[in-house]
Amino acid sequence: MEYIFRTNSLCKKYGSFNALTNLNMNIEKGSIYGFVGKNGAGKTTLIRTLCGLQHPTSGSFELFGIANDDKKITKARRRIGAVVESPAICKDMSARDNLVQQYLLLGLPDFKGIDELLELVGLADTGRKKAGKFSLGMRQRLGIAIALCGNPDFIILDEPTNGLDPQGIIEIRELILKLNKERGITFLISSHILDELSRLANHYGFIDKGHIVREMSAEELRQECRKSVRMKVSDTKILAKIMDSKNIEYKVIDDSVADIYTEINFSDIAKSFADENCTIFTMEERDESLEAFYLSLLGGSHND
Amino acid sequence: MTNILYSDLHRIIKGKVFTLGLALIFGYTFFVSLILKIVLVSVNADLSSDDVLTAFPTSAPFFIAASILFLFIGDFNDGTIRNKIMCGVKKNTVAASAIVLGGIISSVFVIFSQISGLVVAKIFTKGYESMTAVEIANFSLRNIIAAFAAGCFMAMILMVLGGTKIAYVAGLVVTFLFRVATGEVADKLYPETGYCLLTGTKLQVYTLYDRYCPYAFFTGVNYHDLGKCLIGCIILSLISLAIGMIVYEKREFK
Repeated sequence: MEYIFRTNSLCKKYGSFNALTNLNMNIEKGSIYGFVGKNGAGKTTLIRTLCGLQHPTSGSFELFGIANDDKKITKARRRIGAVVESPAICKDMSARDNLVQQYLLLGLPDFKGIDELLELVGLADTGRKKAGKFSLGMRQRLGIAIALCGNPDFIILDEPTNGLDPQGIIEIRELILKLNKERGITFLISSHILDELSRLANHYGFIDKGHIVREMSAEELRQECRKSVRMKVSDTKILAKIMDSKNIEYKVIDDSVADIYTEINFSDIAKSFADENCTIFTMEERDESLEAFYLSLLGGSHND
Repeated sequence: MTNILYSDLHRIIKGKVFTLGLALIFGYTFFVSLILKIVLVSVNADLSSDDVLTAFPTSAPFFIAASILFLFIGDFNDGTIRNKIMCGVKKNTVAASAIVLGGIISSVFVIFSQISGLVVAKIFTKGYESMTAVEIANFSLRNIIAAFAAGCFMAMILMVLGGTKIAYVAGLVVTFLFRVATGEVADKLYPETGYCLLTGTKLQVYTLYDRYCPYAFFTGVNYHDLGKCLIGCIILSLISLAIGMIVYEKREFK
């Protein structure tokens, strides 16, 4: 497995406050990594550290296989594009001039790719309009276009849909998916809008209080969040016997509670339970959302 | 380094502040000369070319302080300074580029002010009879190199203070203090009546300031030695560069 970014017990302290605590995360090449956490969980601190804006207090990380204390790390950063918090754009310049600015900064030999980039992010017809007069969505797209200058292999987007209208959110999502699919760009997207993230990411990292609580693939998450029927019965051993006989997938939670993962015929099931002299107390359909999973992962609302 | 210099220069030239600065310089030179002309004509005197040529340079330190702050503060406000680091530019290179560019832009402003002065002098005076071509060149060159050093110094203050509101105040306060010191030194070393009464260490300190501090060169008086001016300007520029690069390398960005 090739990794674009890996951390090893990364720590970042601000005075006595631990912003990152022994953080370990792994971003596979070609993935869209959803970085999920509450406000203040440490998402932006990690991104700032990765981008070289802040130094880690202890621990280490590797970017494209280059260690953070290696002198080549600044060169490795030329292969990344990032929009951290708000897009870094010159407000008194047009979209085109902002891209020219970035091309000059990166020392690219010509400006040939600029029109294509403007087209890609839907800003080709903005002409000489100053970026300061752009809507939030347009600024976000310009920020992404700037991040795309020089064909980066890894793009970091910190809360990319913050403040966008639904249309803007869809546009940004489609752009990310397109870039990932067509150009094979790896993305790290931090967000606390889980529903939106679930439409994009194929890998997840859940962060809380400065450390990664869990890393998982989208498939693993789907398994965790799939539809089920939660049954409370007098004896789950009998429930298991019935489900096994009917070849129904289930998971016993405790002595009286179990989750059933297949669509079931309630009257048929009820009859089977009555035959085995087992009482069904409750049956409720569960569709665990990403939010619910996330809260359960972080210990619910009592986790503050 | 050249990439970031090009990029920063592109941003400055495309921005409003630079164009506005040039317009202000011409407007200032023109209107100050016009007012002086009106006042002098009313008392049966005439405006001389050196009055016009020195109109802007005497106010240049404040103009440089304000323009450098406005030119570079946008980098912090727009977050583009973070973008440079994220693109793999070393922090000390970012600082060096801003400081060197601060010097270059300040020099460009002073060059433009001298050209404006020559044009305005042609309009309002009978010619350049009060200064020879060599004196004009010497005076202009001294102001240009002093502007470079002052520009570097102001950009350093801004980079060290990180584009905060304190940077605005600090830049102008430091310039004001230099202005007061320049006035005090000139007053004591070259009194309008009588002789210089300074002796000992005080005389040495005042002389050192007068000969080597770039802020002492922004006067209408043409008695400074160009070689010593150059040494003073190089020293201040290098100190600014060194402090800026060292402090900036250790900075963390939010």
